[in-house]
Amino acid sequence: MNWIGRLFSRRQLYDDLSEEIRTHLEERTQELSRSGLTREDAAAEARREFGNVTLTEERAREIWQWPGIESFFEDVRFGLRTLRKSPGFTAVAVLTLALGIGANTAIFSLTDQILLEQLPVGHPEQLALLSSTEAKWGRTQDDYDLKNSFSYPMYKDLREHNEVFSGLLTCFAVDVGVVGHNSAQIAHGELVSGNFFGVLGARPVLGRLFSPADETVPGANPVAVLNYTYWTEHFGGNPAILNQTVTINGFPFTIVGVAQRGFDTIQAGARPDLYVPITMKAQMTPGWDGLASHCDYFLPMVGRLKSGMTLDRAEVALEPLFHNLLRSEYTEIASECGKTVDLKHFLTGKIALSGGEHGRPVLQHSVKTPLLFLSAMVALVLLIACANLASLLLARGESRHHEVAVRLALGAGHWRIVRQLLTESTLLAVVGGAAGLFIGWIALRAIIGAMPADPGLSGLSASLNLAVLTFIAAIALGSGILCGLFPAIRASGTSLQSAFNDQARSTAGSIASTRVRKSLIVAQVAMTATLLVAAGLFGESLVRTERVDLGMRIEHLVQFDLAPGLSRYSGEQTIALFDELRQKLAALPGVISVTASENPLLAGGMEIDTVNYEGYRPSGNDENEGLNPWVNHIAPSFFSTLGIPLLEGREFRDSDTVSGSAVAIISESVARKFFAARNPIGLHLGFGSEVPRIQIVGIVGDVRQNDPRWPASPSIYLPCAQDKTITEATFYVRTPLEPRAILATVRSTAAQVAPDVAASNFRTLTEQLDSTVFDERLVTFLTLAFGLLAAALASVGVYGVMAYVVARRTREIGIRMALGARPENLAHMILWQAGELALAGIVIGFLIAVPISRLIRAQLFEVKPEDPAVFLISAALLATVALAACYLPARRAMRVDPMTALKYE
Amino acid sequence: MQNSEQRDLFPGALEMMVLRTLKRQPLHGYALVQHIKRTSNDLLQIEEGSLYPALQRLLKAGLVTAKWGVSATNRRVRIYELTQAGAKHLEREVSKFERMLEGITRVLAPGES
Repeated sequence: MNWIGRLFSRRQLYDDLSEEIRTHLEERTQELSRSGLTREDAAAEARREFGNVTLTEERAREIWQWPGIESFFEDVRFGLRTLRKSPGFTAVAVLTLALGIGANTAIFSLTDQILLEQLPVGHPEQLALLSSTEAKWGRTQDDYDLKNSFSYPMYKDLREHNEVFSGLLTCFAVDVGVVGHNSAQIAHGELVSGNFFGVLGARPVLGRLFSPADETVPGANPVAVLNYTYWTEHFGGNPAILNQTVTINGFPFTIVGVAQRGFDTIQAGARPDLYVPITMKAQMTPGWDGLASHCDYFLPMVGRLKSGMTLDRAEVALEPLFHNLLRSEYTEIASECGKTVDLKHFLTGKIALSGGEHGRPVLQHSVKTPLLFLSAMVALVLLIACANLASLLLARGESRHHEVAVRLALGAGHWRIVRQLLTESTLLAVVGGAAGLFIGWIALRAIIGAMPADPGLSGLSASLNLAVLTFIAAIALGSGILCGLFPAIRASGTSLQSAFNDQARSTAGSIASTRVRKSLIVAQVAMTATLLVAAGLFGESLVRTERVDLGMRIEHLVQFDLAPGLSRYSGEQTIALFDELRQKLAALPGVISVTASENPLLAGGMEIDTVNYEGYRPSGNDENEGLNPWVNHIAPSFFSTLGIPLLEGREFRDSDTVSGSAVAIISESVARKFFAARNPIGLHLGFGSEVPRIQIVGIVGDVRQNDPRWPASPSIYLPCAQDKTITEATFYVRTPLEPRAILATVRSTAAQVAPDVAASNFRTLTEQLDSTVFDERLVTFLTLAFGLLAAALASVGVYGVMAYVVARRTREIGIRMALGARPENLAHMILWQAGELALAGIVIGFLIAVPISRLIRAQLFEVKPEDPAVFLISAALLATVALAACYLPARRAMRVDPMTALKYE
Repeated sequence: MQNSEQRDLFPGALEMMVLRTLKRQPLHGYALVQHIKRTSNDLLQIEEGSLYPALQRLLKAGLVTAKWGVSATNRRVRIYELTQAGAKHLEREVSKFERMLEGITRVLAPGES
């Protein structure tokens, strides 16, 4: 009989077997009764001789089964039935676990995308990031560290002459204006070297990608490659786009291909829309060429190591090459940007390599600590949820000891029962895990949806990839087994006698399990206390951040970006456009004043330049002497519109044009540092190595221009009208009304005045500030949410245990009442019990919180880690939560009727 | 009920004896038990609980087949019959057993003290 046939005729087999055994017993009975016993005695004797019929049948049946899998399926079916029969318990357990796992899903997905995943390129472990330590003067630009930026000539030299890389690439992100359907839109572009795609091993899905032949001479490579997502979203994935012309920044480019799906760039979390050869830089960044300059540092470099080469060996091998390059560059740099550092000091510069498998760590750099911190938080939340689950399972195990006793009596082994109970808790975990995945996915979508539209973040998605699914499955199963194991072992250890004895409610076993549940409560409260302290500290930090004095008044301001340079406006045309727009906007109803600034405020990133001051001799050693202030080109009425105090002199006027004399306004700290006792008004400053001839006409207050958490930096302001190469500006419109009310009018006016120019980022300045401190707001919000979630879970735990305690002690309470105790006393008894547990938990939690809060000190803004207010509020909140959770049980205790309680046996 | 003076059967012994019994004639479960008791002069007491699982094992391995029939007492019973494969298996098991028995006998034999 082959095994397939067996499968289907198994029912028949079992029936046959049962009948067989029955017949056997009948025959024996008959035989025995023939030898003189009564029918009943014979039957009993026959059964006794046979042994355990049920067990025999089961063992005989097992021959035909795959015992392991079969009994597993049985367990699962039985478990599902029992869970369905107690929907309340199941709902609470699943919800508890789902919340804990949901939080972990969201945070782990972010952690995976930002910190753990390697670049989606071939052999990411061969990639290396370059940085160099020589003094960099002139124009510098970087994401977070000047050491990572190189000049284009240096890049080419290194690429050509090195022996350690099989390929060395560079790229540079820049927003560009793309024209389509009569409107100009901003797209995220990436200037790349010709070998960019080759070194990273990317493939085209349409057409071709760049090759070194696409990087010839500046301006000679008007070709573009589209990012896959951009192609599907903006061009509908239409293959006819190949070899079409697209206008980028007013220049025609030919689309030669589309990159493979999932390929973005060398920076985790970033997703460019299109790629353009680096030689087209002058067209992509109108007003700033910089390709030929030796002291324009703006390019990061990533190299793929040759096989067999390690980071250390490569570093050593690059030293002599770099040294020679520096030496030959020195004279060029000195003549181009007026070097003051001596040759010997300059030549100490070295190249350092670091692993590039995660790409350029721009996002990681700023987000790593908060992410790790959030991961720790959600781990704690999960532990609290598990404690709840374990407590629930313990209580349930007790209420089922009848069932367990019956099964033991029927011959089940202890291990079998443990296994079955464990299956139940694992089922809970699986369902909870699936629900948690869903909740986490929703939360993740909400978080990513709330993120500001930063090109460095556009690559993040609410994806639940294999890594996340595996991780969640693992922690769900782990939780199920962990929480279920002890209760299962405890439940299966029921002794038969005690199970069938109703009287013995307070067996040693159940006392011990209550003790376990109480210590779980203490643990839960402790963890919640830690979380609340952290949340409180972050909350306070955020409040201080948002209340800090920026040096300007940012309410009631509408802002937007305008980039005429991306539509091939010349510098003069741009200035004329700005003037016209300013007039039109100022004439709108509800507008008090209008101004513009080349560099946006509160948007991160600064433009720095080297400045020298009349009558001030720099010491020449310290690069941080402050000779690199923030430089901004602004329109008239800038300071009055933004509420920055004008301390001396005047604002720029419409008459400060190119034809007039060059003027500048300096900030307070510049005046103090470089002009000390002298009055700066009327004196001069100059850029780079020029003789100072720009006249200072005003002094203004210091402003925190970038990030409210950074101190104000010394600033130099110049008139927009005197910037011949201006290409873009951010407009600020002040209104006494609610700023969002005039947003639409401003937008339409801008579209009317300059329909062919890309205008973007219409929002209020307050919104801009929020988006700049988004990371702090997000972390604070999440921390608070997790803290409150933990408190809710802990309160459920407290309620569960106290309700159980009251139920168990009903008789005792009845006796006390009969002996004269007043209801309030009993309520106090319950509250006191819970209060003790909560107090213990709070103390332990605070002890843990103190060292942890020291760890996160760096993330906090002007907050003392031991701030007593935070601790006090957390303690108060927890105590209230714990006592509130006892309200119902205490009331029940008060309502106990002594007669009923004593009657119940 | 097992007498404390009796040993447990070694694994495979029950199957071997069942096969041998069935070789003589097809029987049903109860008759098998009675037969083994009689033939062994009550020296062997089969725990009836282990007979049926053993029969199922033999059935699964294809060493016996089962058919419903009628017993001597006019009951509907399931009668087991030895197959060819069963007969071959029995031969092998018996010779293995006899070799083992000879070995033990030699070791236990009274000889040099």
